[in-house]
Amino acid sequence: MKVLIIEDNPLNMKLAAEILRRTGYTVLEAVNAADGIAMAKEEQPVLVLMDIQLPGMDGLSATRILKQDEQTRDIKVVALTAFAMKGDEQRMREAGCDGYVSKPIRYKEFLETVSSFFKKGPQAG
Amino acid sequence: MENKGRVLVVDDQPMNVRLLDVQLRAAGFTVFTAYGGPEALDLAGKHIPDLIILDIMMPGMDGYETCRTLKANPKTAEIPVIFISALTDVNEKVNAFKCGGVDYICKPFQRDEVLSRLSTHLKLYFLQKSLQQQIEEESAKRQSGQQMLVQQSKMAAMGEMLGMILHQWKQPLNAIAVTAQDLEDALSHNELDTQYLHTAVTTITNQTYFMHRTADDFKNFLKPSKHKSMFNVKDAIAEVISMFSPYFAKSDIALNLTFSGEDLSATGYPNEFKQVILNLISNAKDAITSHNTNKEPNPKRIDINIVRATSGTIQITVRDNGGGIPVDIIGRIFEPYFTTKALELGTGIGLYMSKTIIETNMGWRLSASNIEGGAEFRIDI
Repeated sequence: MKVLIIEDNPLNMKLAAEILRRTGYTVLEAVNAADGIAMAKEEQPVLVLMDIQLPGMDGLSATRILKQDEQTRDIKVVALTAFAMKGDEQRMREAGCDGYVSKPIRYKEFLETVSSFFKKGPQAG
Repeated sequence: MENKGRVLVVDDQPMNVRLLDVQLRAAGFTVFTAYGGPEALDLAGKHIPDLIILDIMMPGMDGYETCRTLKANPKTAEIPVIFISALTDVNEKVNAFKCGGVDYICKPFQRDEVLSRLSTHLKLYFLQKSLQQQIEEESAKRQSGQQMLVQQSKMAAMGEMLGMILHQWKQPLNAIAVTAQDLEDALSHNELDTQYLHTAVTTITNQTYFMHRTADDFKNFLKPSKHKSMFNVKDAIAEVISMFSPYFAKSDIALNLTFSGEDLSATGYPNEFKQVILNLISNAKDAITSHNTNKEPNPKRIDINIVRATSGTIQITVRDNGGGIPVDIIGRIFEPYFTTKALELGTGIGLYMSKTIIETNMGWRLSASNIEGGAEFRIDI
């Protein structure tokens, strides 16, 4: 039910949040890695959607921190990335990402990926 | 018989001319004959012989004057002249050499002596001509090599610009794609009304305008300036900074522009000047990012300063705190093809092109030196 989106671009954030809210998810928003990590600890979402290109600390570093911290280790992280280069998928897995979605977001795929992390759909857990 | 060379024989005595003519032809030379200075000048200009045998004592225009005139004409100046004369006075010989002769043969002459001296001088002459030709060919090669370098530099710069344009377009393209999909999704959830549609259309339209402007900006940036014009140096640099600031913001590098003095305008090629500024800033950025691998507390910065000295010259400095240029390569950084970067990281036009643009094309000066903690590139106008 709870999804945290960490994304610095307001338009991207708005559109991703809209589509999830309409489907029934509770969406939390953070605009940078530091805020996102703090929010993840406090709110304990099931899933974090992490933009890779963030100002300051980047998304992969933030992912590593979440995965190393006991309090946030079990939260799933899906990378949102505009990259499409060889080796990117590898690097994301190594940082601890549980999946990735490439931009521009394709709504159907996006929803399927998100719902795959919620065993019984948005109402559960 | 092979042609050993083309010789012009000049003597006012027909018998002397005939003698040499026969002997030289028998030895394989092609022979032209003249009986006086004016005729010699005429034939030399027409046929450009490989060597001239010139009698000194002739009525009217003598051998010396004939020789001087030959040397004064660019068409015939290089043809070796051998004087032949009954005069044995040392002064006469010296005169002969003074007015441009390469040798002096006394009459009565020995046929073998004449032929030997002739051959020697012809050999020298042909060698000289061959060397000159080789130099011309090498120069032409170097010229076209230079032009290829310039082309390659420009291609590399364009390639990099293309990458930058695509980078700038990623966000807008993403926004357009999701906004469009979002319309459908909104409709399926009964959220689509006139206001919603209007907002979406405005978003999409704005994004496309932005993409269009980006492409235009880059296109104008790359266009060569057709001729020199007066432009404001500070404004030009400010434009470069504003156009490319997204790339420097991502690396957390502060880019500062300071200036002092009135009238910071100069005459030159404005677009090429901007490309040089971009090159210098890019190099500074690369130095900083490769130097700062252990994340020191020093804020990464590039400082550009423009100052007009009282002497009237404008001085532009681009300083970075990227650790400086290693002493063993600082003398080579402006060489063509010299780079310390891996192949993937282009430098656009490169320092060699920058130096060519600044110094050769605009007559200013570009230099590099190390300062505390980093490097400084300086343009003196």
